[in-house]
Amino acid sequence: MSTKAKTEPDSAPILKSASIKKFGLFTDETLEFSPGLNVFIGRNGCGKSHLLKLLYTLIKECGEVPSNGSVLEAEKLENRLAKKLAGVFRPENDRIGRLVQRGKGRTSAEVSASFTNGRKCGFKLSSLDKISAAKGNVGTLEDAAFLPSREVLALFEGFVAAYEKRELSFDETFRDICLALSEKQLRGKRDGMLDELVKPLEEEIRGKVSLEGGRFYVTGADGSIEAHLVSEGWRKLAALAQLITNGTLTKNGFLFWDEPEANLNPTMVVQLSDTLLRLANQGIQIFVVSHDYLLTTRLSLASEYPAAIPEDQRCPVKFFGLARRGSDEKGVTVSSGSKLAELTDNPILAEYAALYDYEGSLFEKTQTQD
Amino acid sequence: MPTPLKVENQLFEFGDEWSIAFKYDDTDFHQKEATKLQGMIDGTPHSTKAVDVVGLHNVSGLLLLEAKDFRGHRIANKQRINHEVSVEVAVKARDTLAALVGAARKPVSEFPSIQLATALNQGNDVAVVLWLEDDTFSDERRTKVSLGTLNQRLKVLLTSLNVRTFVLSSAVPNRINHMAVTNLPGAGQPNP
Repeated sequence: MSTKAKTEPDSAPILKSASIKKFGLFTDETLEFSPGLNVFIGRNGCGKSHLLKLLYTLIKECGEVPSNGSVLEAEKLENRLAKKLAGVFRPENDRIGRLVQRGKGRTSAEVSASFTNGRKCGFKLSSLDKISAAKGNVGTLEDAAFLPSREVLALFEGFVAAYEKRELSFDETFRDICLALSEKQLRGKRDGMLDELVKPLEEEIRGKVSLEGGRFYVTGADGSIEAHLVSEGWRKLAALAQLITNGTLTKNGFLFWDEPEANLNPTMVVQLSDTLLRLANQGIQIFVVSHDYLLTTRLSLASEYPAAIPEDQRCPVKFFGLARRGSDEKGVTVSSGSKLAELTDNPILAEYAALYDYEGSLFEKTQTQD
Repeated sequence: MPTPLKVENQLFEFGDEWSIAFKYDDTDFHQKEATKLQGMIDGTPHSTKAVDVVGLHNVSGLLLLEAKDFRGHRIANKQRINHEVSVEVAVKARDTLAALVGAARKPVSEFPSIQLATALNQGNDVAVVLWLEDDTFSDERRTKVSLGTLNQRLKVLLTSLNVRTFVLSSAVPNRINHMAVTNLPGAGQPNP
């Protein structure tokens, strides 16, 4: 079960902004988030996945823990944060000080997140692994789910037990998502909103998702098929359907998804895009890392033509372009905008444009060869 | 050097490397003979189409060029840009190639029909180029992606003709050697 209490709709805060200093590749950046969909793009090695994991860590650990006798309640926030950072980032020997941006002598990272209720949460982390958390709490947060780029339904069976025995080298996001997936589906008839979100996914994977005996199945017209026997793309959508139907993804909740497009063919990417927009429309704050031209462009079009897209897909969208500074400078720069075109650097678009240039150069050569 | 050609408020100028360049769709051959092939099929009217320009480069070979200037007409032409323009250009290229074969068989003297037909021989390159202008082509990278996507569509449509295709615009670098394109007064403005 989740350690966080479910709250009344509209009462739970969501993430408003984050200030990150000397953490990983982030030298000094403040990011203002959309309450809907946040899309991070950039070349490999720009810190996108680290950013996603950092935000996830803050959301998971900064929310107020209810008085339900859970073990975590007794721990101080900094201990929880230290443990989560170690689990999510997996630094060598759990030395979370290695996450601090490298520099001469001892340095410290400083991370702070602001929420829509005006409260803040954050920590300071020294390169010697010492962590101190800011005072106060942000109030109760809804659940957060982190979907790694690798799909998880196929490795679900027995994963958590093996992870707890430290038999696996996966990071903690895999354990967390397996726990979230194992939550039982909500009882009773699906309400309209839930059905609208899940039905298109079930149509795409041609069946419903079920968990029986510790194993996931996709049950459709051809009967039940073990999840690990269906395509990886289908498994990704099936996992999302499970998180919706079991209530993990709920209003004012958080979804983090690293490269959701991986192993999806373009038609499924279209379905994925529409689903992300619908989820954000229902009040789930979403953070996505993507390298995909089709996905990012469709999301940008949703932002550019809000009145022209289906009403259930309307939501605020914000893009963040991460780019390495020049070779003589450390860290990354971040540009942002509600449309892809507003970003200073869009490597996906640049590569597609370069493809046109490449074909143009070949076309041109045919005119100069004897 | 071929005479500069005015197409859709743009001037196409060809260097000495071009032995032939003319407004094919203005020729009597196209307007009076090729277009005789027209009529109704299943209740839908069909007629022979033609590209704007036919040219012959000393090295690169035969060029069929169609110019479209949608500037100032974006709303009216939006659907055509997205869906129909590649089909329209492909059909025009197909009909023009077929007509050029017929012109050489006659032969037609209005333009060097036999020389053009010889350029169609196996081993010679034939290029079909769409020169497209649009109000949305302000960002060069996005324009390249749009033009590249359109070219992929055009390439598929013209697979059977074994031609090279490319889509160009004044918003991106010109890839046709020894040919320059300039805007004439009124270019980019809606027609009165």
